Amino acid sequence: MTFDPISYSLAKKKLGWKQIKTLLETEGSINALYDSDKDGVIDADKVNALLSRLQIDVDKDWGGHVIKNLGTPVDPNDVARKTDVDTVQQNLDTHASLSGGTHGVPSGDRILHTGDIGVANGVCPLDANALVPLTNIPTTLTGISADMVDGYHAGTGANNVLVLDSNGLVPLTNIPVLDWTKLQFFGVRQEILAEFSDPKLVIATTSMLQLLNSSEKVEAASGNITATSKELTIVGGTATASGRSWVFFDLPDPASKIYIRSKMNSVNAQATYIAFAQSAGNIAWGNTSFYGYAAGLVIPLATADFKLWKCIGGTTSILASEAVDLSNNVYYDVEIYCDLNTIKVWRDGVLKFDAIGDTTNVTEINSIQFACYDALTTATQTSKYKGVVVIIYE
Amino acid sequence: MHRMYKFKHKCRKIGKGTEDDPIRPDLSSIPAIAELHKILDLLRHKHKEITNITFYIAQVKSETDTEFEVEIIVTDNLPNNIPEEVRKAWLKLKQLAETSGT
Repeated sequence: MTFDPISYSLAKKKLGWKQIKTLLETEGSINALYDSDKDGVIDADKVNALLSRLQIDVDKDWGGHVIKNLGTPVDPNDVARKTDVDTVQQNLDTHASLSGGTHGVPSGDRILHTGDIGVANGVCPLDANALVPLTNIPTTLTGISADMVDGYHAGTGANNVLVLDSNGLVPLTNIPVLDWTKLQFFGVRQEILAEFSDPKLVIATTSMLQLLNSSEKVEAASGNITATSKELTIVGGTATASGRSWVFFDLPDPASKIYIRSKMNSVNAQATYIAFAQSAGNIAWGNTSFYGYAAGLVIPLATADFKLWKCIGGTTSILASEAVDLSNNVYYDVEIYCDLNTIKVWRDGVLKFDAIGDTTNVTEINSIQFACYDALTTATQTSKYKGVVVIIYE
Repeated sequence: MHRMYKFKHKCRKIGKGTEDDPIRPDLSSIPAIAELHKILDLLRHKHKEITNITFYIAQVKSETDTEFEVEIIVTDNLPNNIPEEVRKAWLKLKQLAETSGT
């Protein structure tokens, strides 16, 4: 028997059966509104099915059933549809597959965050010049071939970074034959030294004792030439006679080039000069056998105190003169270079003369003289020389 | 010394060829040089010698039996303390080099 809610509700009112029957007969028309066939079951179409009237008051187990055809979620607590979830999953799948670009994740399964900078297993921050700070470079580059710095291997071969030998020295095989013309030699003008290809050194000293002991001499009177370690003193003549005294070097072989340097001081001499001649060193300037040149001081003359002369067969002529008044008892640093074709003379480091040589009459240089010419017959005249004195020839 | 001003001049040979009178170009044939030396000699006689100042350099470039071709190289400037008459004479020489020189 089916449950009759109307009868049940009337029974709950404790009505007698007759009373109920009466009600059913009088009100049946009303109940028939809900149960037209009076089968005790409310007609389905009489039940109000609007969900808006449904009050949800309990969690609902849908028992595996599907809520179909939901609308697009709008508010934060709206239920997402399957299509919405599928879209999110698709985006995640795409993101996971990227390894570059804005959304890419470098290999290593790690995304950079600020806590990774400058820490162990993190990343190194560059400095203001976009370079790795030295403090972030290990002192010892373990595992790195240091000999490949700049791309050059260490070794002793071409383009290698040189490896020293077992004594910490440069291997001899790695020392080239030096171009000596690029080197400095004390007391010698560099650009002149470069003019020589195979120079021979006669003397290089500041000791005038060494110069005097290394040279020969011609004295107008015995004792005219003396030396200390500092100065070479040459008296030209005597108190009653003019004259000339000098020290000289005869070269072992004829020279085509010669460089001479000395400081010279005309104490009171008529002429203080350095001669370089084809003739032998013991032949006096002015002698008919003298062929050569000289540069020096002639203080007593008018304003032309520094000169370059030549003497050919005893005839003296002036090749060049500097219009200058120089002083007695002052040392002047004089340098001479002659390659037969040209004669260059410096005074105190300044090139004064660049004259043309007499290649007809002077074809080689065989001697050098440091001289004093005394023109007076009433007193002695003196010249002095001091170092550095250098004589080079080839 | 800067060799900015120079010129060549042919001078006759003078001198006997001895050490005290060497053969040399007669630079006095260049009036500016003659005037300069005249003033410098006067100063020397007055013991007002101007020391260690180069006024010019003269060097022989070629020669014949009777004359030298001489190159005159004039100093490009002089110190401020040079007497005015010397400076004027030197300026004449410098102007000669500027106008006729190389």
